Amino acid sequence: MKPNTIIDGAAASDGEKQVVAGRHRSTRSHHVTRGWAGPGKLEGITPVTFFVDVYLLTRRLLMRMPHQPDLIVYSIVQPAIFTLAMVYLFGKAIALPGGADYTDFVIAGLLAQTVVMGAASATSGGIAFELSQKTIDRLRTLPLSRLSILAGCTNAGVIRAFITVFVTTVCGLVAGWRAQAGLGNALLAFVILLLFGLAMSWVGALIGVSVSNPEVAAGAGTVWLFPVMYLSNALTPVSAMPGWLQPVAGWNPLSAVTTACRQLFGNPTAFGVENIWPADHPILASVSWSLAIMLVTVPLTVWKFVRRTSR
Amino acid sequence: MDNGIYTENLTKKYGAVYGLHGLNLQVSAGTVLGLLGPNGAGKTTTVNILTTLLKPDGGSAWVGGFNVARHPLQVRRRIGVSGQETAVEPLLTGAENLELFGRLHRLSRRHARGRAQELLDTFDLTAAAGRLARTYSGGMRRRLDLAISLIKRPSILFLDEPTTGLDPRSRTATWDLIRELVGSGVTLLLTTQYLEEADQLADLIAVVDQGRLIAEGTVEELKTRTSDDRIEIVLRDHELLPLAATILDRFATSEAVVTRSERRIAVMAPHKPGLLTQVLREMDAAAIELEDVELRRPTLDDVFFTLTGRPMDVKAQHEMATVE
Repeated sequence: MKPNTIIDGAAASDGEKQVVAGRHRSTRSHHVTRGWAGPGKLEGITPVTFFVDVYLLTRRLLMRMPHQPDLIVYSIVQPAIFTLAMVYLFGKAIALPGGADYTDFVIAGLLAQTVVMGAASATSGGIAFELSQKTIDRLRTLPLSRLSILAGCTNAGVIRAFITVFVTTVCGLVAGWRAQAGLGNALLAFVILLLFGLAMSWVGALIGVSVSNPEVAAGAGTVWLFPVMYLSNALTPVSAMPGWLQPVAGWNPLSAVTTACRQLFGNPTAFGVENIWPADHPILASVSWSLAIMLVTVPLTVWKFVRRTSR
Repeated sequence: MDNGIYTENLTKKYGAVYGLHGLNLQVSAGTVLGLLGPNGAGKTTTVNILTTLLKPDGGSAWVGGFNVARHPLQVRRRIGVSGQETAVEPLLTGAENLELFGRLHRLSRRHARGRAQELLDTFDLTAAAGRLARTYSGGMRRRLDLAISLIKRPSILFLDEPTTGLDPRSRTATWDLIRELVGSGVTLLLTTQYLEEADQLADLIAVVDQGRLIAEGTVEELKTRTSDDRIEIVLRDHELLPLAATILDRFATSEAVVTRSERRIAVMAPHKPGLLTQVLREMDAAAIELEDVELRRPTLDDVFFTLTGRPMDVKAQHEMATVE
């Protein structure tokens, strides 16, 4: 971001008053007095107004959904087919260590994978589309923070991903999968999925503000997902991979989230890599990964968004 | 509280090209400034900087008493903007659009709903309130866009080419709406390519060209910038255009603008009795048959032409280029 001082030519941040007094004393000194009344760029935005704005901006995108029935049908049919194919077709071919049931094993992995793919691709495409529309300029002339505009997009991405999470869960229940460690733990698993989905949504947002148009976003938003998904224990146990890949898969955030969910659902974990921290503390690892990813992607996305839209 | 708009030496570069080249503007509170210029003159760039969408590369701007670069949120709280292209949510209804933007302006839900109803009435959209905006016609979408920009009752309003792309009837209707707004005391910066529009709506006109202010004043003041009359002739035979242009040239104070497809030649000439008769006599002597002759007092078009040596109308510029 360029410093404000450029705007006033030579004026330093605290020099505006003097410069103005010298250059256009009689006509404009009163504006400057007003201009100096406020403390800074966030004046008037409080945590309360921020969250209300985020809520409204999220709702703005969700209100479109009833008018896009094809999108809803797709986000129901796609995970249903995928879940049933994994359970009934691949399930028989994959042998788990200890002879655990594949359906019990794979649902948590499918949920984690679904949330990653859904959130990241929905948000990268969504933001790239927003940037190609004029409405974003209208939003930028409203007294909102840039962060709230982006947060609306990432929230909408997660919520859309949770439609597929819901469908996957229902298909799992139909196929005989059960959460066996109590309702409280099961809910905690969904909270972890939500948090991770939000982190992935911000990764999608960063891609969305970085690519030149929505068509590129459709590709760029998903291409990195495949290694992330397959180099994890989501669908197969890590012990089936080549030895040198096992630590990579072990440290993959998706593996931690999957294992955390398996633990909280009381499903077979079969992590496959011994003696690494995420395998031993999957819940803490999932939360840490999610927060760490957002710590990087949120400021970077806001910065790129501001830089891209204001020049 | 000052609801004026001021810019000082505003500069914006796109690569090596100046979008704005030291623009100084002043719009006093409660007045209407028409920012007039051809495509690419810097009108939209100016609006985008003043509405905090774009960062200038140099100079300063104040809107409603706040420096746009230092206090963008304070500026945004006071302005309404309707851009060149409409910015409505296509998958929301007209009423939902208004309510959403009302609430984003921090109106309460009830207040936003009431205000939406009011604006739907004013802008003749009540019957379409429950329809998705994507089903609206161009004129309706433009009216909705304008209504959204007024939801918070802004004290300062920016309208960037508000009637571009509208049919004549919608254009007149939009003008009436804008006139009503202005009556309620808002400060308005209006950009337009249509001289008639500036003439109709603005108290003062600022003519911009290539990122610079080239003239400023009331419509009448600008018209007296050129005391010359405008003579236009239409020939029967387009092969005689060059000859006719040479003849006209002798009386003219400007270069002849030849519109080949219409067999038309236009020049500026001194306001002098008997001049037209003389022109006609010479045309007759050269055996040039005329289909139409017109002599009129200068328009803003002519002012622009006098100031820049180019016609403002893009089409006319193109025609001139092909003749040359």
